[in-house]
Amino acid sequence: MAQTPAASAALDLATDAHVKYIQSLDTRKDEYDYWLTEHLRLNGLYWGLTALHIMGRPDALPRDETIDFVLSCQHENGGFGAAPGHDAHMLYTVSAVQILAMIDAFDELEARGRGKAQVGKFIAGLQNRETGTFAGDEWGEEDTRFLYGAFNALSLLGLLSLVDVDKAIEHVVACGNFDGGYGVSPGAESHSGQIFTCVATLAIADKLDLIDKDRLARWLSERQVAGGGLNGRPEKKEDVCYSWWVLSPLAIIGRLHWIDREQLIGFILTCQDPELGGFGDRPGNMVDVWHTVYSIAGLSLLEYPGLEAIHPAYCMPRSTIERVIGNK
Amino acid sequence: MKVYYIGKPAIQLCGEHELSEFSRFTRNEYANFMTMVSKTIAERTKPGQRQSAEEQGYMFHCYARSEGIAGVIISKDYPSLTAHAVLSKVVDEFLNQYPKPADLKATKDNEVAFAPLKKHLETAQDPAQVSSITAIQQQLDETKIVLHKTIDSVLQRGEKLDDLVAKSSDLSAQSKAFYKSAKKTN
Amino acid sequence: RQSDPNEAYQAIASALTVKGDTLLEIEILGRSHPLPPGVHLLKDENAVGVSKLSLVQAFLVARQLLMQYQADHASAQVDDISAATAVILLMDPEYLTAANTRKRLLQQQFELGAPLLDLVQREKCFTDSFLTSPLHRHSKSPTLWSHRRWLLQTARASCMSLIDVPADFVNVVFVSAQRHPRNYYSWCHARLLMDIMSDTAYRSQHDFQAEEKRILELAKQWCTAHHTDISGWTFLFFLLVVRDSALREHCSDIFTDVIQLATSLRWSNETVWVFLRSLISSGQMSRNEYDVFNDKLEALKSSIGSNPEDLSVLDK
Ligand SMILES: CC(C)=CCC/C(C)=C/CC/C(C)=C/CC/C(C)=C/COP(=O)(O)OP(=O)(O)O
Repeated sequence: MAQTPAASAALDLATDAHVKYIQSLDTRKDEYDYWLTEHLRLNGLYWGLTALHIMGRPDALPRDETIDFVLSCQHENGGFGAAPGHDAHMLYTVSAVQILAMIDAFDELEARGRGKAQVGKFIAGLQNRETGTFAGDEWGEEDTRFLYGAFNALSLLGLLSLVDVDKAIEHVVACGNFDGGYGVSPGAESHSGQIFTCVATLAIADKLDLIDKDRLARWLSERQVAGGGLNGRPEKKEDVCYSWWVLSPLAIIGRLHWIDREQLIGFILTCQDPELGGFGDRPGNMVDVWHTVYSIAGLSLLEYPGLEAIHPAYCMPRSTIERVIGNK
Repeated sequence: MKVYYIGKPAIQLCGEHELSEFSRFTRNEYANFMTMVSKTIAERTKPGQRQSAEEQGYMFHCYARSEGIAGVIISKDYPSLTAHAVLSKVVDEFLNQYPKPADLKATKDNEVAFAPLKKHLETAQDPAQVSSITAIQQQLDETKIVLHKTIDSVLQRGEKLDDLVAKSSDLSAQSKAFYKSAKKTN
Repeated sequence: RQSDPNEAYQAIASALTVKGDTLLEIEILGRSHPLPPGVHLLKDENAVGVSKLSLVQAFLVARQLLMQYQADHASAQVDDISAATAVILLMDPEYLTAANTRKRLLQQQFELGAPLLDLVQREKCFTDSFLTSPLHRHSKSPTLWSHRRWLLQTARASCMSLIDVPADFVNVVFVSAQRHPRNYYSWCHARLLMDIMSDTAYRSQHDFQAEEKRILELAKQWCTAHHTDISGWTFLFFLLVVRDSALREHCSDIFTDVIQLATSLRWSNETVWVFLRSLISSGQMSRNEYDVFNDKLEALKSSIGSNPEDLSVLDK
């Protein structure tokens, strides 16, 4: 269990415990919660691996097994499912590309998988050519999460030219709201998570001039509540994952200093389990790998000592982005 | 917003519930627990005093009168001031109908008929209707409502709600078990 | 205490198989509600209480069935796989492959000659039961809402008569929105329903102007009864302003009612004032209303004077 806020004053990041926690996730095949989370496995691998890279422990998971597992999730059409036997979807496909990029294994995708071009084709096929947005899969749900995913993965693969970038950007702009935020689709409510997807897409496409930065930063900075944590929308409870969803767009538009850094670090650290590792949404709650990566990613944006720099538009190590794309 | 319960303990003279938000198999447990806590808070409110306390996301509002009765409202996401305005109205009406409550000589819960309670519970669900009683609200001095973060701080020193629940003769063993683990998973 | 997982699976699977059009009210009974050994669920009319322990056992059986079927479609009957996916989705509504399998089964039955109307109707009832039950994650599950969206799109293309927008608001959107406060996905679905209402095919079968008006009234009522719910208020703003329809003419009335309520009930919470401020700056309001807004806001600030937290909200 995580600490109570009172005990937080001088907490440190329990790096070793977090590394062990992430390693343990993959070795529990006989426990039923392994099967209960099977439909998120590939995402889970991306979350765990990213956290490890940011904590400076990129080798804590075996590289070969990681590649084998990722490739075993690929479908003939190029897309990836969460695990073998699971349907292909944009979100798992993006995780697969991100994992392969982080461990420098695009060659293996060419040699033993179905190749970059096929992955690009799967993703590009999900663009709605009329509106510019993207579906998650053949069943047609559209969401700026999927649009962002497409931009993230295609730019890593060097295949952005497969899609209509201008149309997509027009769509992102149309998702902007009156309050400065963005939603899942035009007219939908502003949400920090969706703001990340829209702002990061604009960053990848080099279109940050389309953002009303002060209005957006104002809305985002109002997400900090008493106690230092951030919420995702007005009148919601704070949740440590917003240390990423709120901070990364602020970092992208150069307004990170609009929130109180020390208070937020204090809150994030009280959400960790210093003994068994991992982070929960709020102090005292059960930990999971999803909240773990976004806590550590948030700390990295806040330049917490001892962490590798994270790229705010990709949620991957800056060093990976420099190697794969160049200086961005 | 919901008003769950209005009653007049420590013997509950009368009460009404609106529990449709709770699932079929837990509704009774919530109702029992609410009765037990509302009696507790009524017993610990001095004549003339108003207080409000939170417990597991629900607010318990209580208004005690020198005539020896108290009104309780249990609500969620409901403005305290409004709850107390409603309480004033309900308690006044009750005393109009029964000017000497001591003469009622009630020995068991829910022995006293007070028909308007049901209507008040319904009206209170709709803010548009409640706002018409703002006249009362305006006379109410907010600072006179004692606010407590938990029920425990309403109790006497050393007392804990958990212990009172464990000892309560109003709650069945099943209800006690339910209270215990519902609290854990919250 | 070990019971037979297959028995648990059978019991739960058959309880989830809906017939007719009454929604189920499903809940999961955890440690606070122990059931005697061998009892996997409780039933009371349309209410079903499923033991958590039995559900976990049943899930493992159902997952196995689905994986076999994914590897070899001949391994099972439609009804059995449909039941297995229901159990899986009760355990975890984000189990994408289970939801997609249900879509494929529906298409397959249609190709074999079953009437689309019945198929969609039955699947809608199943989905709505999950979306409106007192379950922790189902009412806000993007996967389940997307499943419902797919059903509506299917109906939209070939059996519009299945769609009744006001009924969907009352029976599904408002219910799930209450189950999980600030329910992002129910209100997104509400926008889709409004979009369907703009279809010519829908308009030719319904008095859409009356329906729009009624939805506006219901939505406003819902918001004032849940005054801290940002998603509800954002939807109300969408109806009034963003959607650009005849409903814009009601901006003034709604503004007047809401600001009256907000000041008399002293709603000093962020959401209500975000809504009012958006209305005021939407270009739909008069100078006079702008003055009313400022006067009332000042009056509220001085009446709640004592609480610094409330004040900082109103000062934004
Ligand atoms: C590669 C990376 C970093 C991400 C992939 C892209 C994705 C999946 C982004 C997800 C962004 C996100 C968190 C969106 C929010 C979705 C949403 C509308 C959630 C509302 O759910 P609630 O459970 O109500 O959340 P809150 O209660 O905290 O508002």
